[in-house]
Amino acid sequence: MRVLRFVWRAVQRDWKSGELGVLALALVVAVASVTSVGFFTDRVNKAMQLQASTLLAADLLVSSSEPIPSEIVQKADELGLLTAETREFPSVIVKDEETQLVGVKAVSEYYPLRGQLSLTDQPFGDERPADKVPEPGTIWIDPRLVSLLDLTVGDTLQLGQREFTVSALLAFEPDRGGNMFSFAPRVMFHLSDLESTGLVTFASRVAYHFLLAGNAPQLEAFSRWLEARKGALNVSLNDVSNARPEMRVALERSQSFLGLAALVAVILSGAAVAVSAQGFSAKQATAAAVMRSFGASRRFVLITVCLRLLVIAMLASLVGSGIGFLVQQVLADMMSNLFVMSIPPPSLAPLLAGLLTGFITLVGFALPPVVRVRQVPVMRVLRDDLGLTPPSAWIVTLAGLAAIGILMVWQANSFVLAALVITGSVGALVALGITGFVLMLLLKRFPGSSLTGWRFGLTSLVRRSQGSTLQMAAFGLGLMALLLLSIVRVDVLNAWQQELPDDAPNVFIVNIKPEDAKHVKAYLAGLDIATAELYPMIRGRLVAINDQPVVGEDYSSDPETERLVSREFNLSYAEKTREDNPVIEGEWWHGDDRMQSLFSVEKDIAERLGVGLGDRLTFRVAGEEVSAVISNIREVQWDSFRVNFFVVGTPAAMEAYPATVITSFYLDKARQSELAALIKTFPGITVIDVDALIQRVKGMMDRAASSVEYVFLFTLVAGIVVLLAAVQASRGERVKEAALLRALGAGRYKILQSLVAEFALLGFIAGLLGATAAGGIGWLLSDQVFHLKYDFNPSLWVVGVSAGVIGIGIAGVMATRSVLAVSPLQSLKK
Amino acid sequence: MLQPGEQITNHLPAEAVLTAKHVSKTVAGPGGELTILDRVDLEISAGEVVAITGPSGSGKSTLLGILAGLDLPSEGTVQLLGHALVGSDEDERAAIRAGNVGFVFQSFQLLPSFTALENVMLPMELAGLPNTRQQAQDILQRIGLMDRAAHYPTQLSGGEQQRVALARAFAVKPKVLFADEPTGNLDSATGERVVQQMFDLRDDLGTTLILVTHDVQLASRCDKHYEMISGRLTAA
Repeated sequence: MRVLRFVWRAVQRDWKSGELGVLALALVVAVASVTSVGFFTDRVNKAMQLQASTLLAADLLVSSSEPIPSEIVQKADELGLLTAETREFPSVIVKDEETQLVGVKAVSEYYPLRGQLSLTDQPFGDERPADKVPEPGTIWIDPRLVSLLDLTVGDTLQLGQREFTVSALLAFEPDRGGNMFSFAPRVMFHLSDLESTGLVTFASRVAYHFLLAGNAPQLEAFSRWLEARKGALNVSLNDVSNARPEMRVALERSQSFLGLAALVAVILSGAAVAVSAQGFSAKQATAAAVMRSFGASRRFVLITVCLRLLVIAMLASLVGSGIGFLVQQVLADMMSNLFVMSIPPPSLAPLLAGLLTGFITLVGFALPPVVRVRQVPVMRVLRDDLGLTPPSAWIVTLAGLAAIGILMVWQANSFVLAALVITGSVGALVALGITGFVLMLLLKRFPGSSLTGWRFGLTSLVRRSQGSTLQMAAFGLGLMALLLLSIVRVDVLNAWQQELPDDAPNVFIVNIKPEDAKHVKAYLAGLDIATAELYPMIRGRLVAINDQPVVGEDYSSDPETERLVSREFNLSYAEKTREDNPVIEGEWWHGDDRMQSLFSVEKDIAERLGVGLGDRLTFRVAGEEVSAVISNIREVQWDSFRVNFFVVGTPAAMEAYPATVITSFYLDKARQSELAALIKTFPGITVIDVDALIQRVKGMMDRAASSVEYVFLFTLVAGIVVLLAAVQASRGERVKEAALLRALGAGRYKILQSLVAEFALLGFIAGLLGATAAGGIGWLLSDQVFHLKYDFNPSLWVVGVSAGVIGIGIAGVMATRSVLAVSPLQSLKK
Repeated sequence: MLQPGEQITNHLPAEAVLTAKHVSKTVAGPGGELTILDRVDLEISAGEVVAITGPSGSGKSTLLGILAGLDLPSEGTVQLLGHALVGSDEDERAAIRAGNVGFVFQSFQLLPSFTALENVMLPMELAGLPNTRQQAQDILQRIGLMDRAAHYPTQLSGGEQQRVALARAFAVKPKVLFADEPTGNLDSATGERVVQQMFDLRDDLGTTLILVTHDVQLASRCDKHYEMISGRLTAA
């Protein structure tokens, strides 16, 4: 009770005197940055999940080849989920005795639950959003049908036993995912018209889809319920995470970027608190000695100082969380126009995260120096020279690392990312320590050391070698963070965005007969269209691995693999390797190998199937079994939109089987009507325009990049505050020293010179090392985490050193300039 | 073990408050072992005012620290208020001091973030005494510093700071007050005022005063006067 009363009074005193002001401010900034990033990331992630949901046109999608069992519909109603239905099947439309194979889609009210359909009145014309599904009796058609069947809005067409009036052209359909190469032009009408077409009979190949949308608990409850029954009900369940691979990659990458932003905030928090705690414990030394001379036990001193810190940390964390919440609100408002729908409200989890962050940061970074106050020699009351021995560097490092580690693994939710950033930070700290030590040795030999002017500034670094090394580490870390944020971030984001360049292929041509391939290429060349390679494409179903039969259900624990195995694969064959498909294991076939039956398998599918080099895969192609051994594993960039295959064989293995040819190219949207003539010339081919999909993926990348930039902007501010805190921490000592020098007769100019020299040198070294560390971490992150190509940017060092010298030089001099304005007596009296 | 704040009753024959026997202190120096205190013997009775004078570096402050239990001798024994300091750990020695011992330091050692009033309250709070604020106000009133109660140390003059330190030292009505150069940082008029207040408080409370000082005049007013030369203590 006595302790608590004492602590409460002490906290009131701290509050009034500002004793713990710097530490509290550091914690406020730390917690505010972590919570604002947390709140904002939480909301942006939710928004991006929603955005990605548009690819399913729902949050969850139940699919089946049979009508959706009524119990599923009942369960969805019971849980209060929004629902819609679609049915898809291939059929033929007739117009003036001309026929065309189409992909029919009958849709219920409320479709799509996520995303929006776009309509137009003429091919490549202005698009407008559709606010409802087609009216009964009307039909929306793929713009390709305009040229194929000479159709236009207002015309009628025959589908089964029904006539429909074309009321619009369907420019965009959010969930046009799945296997884009099997697309036939789309026609869409109201589900209530389906029966009257007479097309759905017992033998029809109809894909039944049941779309669901709702909040997270509802969806989770539904998923859990269905997961246990989907086998028995013969349905499959899809969510956003197993939507199109390129979207998944985009989502995962943006989450990694946002995670990185949170991590950097965590490191900055630690640096700020550690620096402030050092100053606090030094100030507490005399108070602790005086208290003990008056009879306080060491335990009492320790408990009271720790409790004071805890109370301050809790208050600071609450304030920080509040600020974090407000800041994220501003950010969310700024961002809201970037997302199609409004950004969902944040959950309360980041608030708890903020409070815990404050606590963990305090324990990890502030405790080691602060617990030393119990060991201050009580004789200090009689002899001022008896100071506080600094804590063991090992303990400080280990405690700090433990705190960073816990926070990082928790915040980034990625052990690899956390390990890389920790390795980078520790590496930077070690490098800073060693360089600092070497520099001290060099400076000790510096000729003509002087007690004033710029030489004094340099030698004062040596005299304060421990403090200088600590400051160098703090500055270096701060600069590293700033450089990571300002330069490396841009480089990495650019590398990511460049993966989908403006001229990424937006048109695919499939079903080219092998004998037409050359002619199609020549035709396109005549239109001045540079095509990519033409690739043979063979469809086959995986039937055995190492001669053991496999079926989709063998992979029921992984829905995507289950779906892949249940479906036909697009296979290809090639003699040469492709530059954009680097072999990461084994070797591409050459020489006599080409005569053997070998497969090259994409990395992810190999992992999913659990196969590797030497394993034998067997596919059923056109009724025959094709078997070959895996000789290499390839990496494929799925978000590049180029033609890619999971499995590529040697010509010897696959050449004999019926293939079609596929190619892709970029065609300016304005010229896409020219494709109509191509289709007339080669009627068998199918042209697939993925421009809309690309635009949406690109849009999502851009939004993710923007949100990351905003988040980083905030972390950048936190970094600057940390730098200022580091300068502030040594301010007292410097002010006193400068006052003494002035009292002894040194002119203001000389003192200014020494301050500039000291901080500029500190900034130079910190900038150099911060830049090197940032470059290293940037490379590690790009290469290991984001799997992007990273080029070292020389401006990193130029900016790092300049920012160090100028920034820290100015900040340091600004923070200590009061000694030049205030009389030395006043400074000394303080 | 003595609890902080516990008042010590008559454990010893009434007079013997502090006894030091053969107290030596040696430290390792650059040129070998350095003797700071050399077999010091001292006995101080309750209510006595004892001055220890000597040149700088003679070991006066070290002796004061050892007598107060802030440090331990390399050899010898010290009994403070009936408790053996040698053999007690730091916290046990702190518990002996709590509520029983006061200090006045040459550099005042007021806590910069505490107001004058709060500085005076500190030892009382540490001793767990009730009504600390009221008592601290009474003491400040008595020494004529009530108008400075809300001021922080940097807002006080040197003399005022030392008087606040004195008020702090007497706040727990200590049995023994240790003063290390209490007037060393003050001009003679202010110093005299501080000394007079110290003696007045001794008269009121019966506190034993042990002063380390350069001031021979002050020493001459004390009941006993010892001189420390090169670590050896002799009666002056």
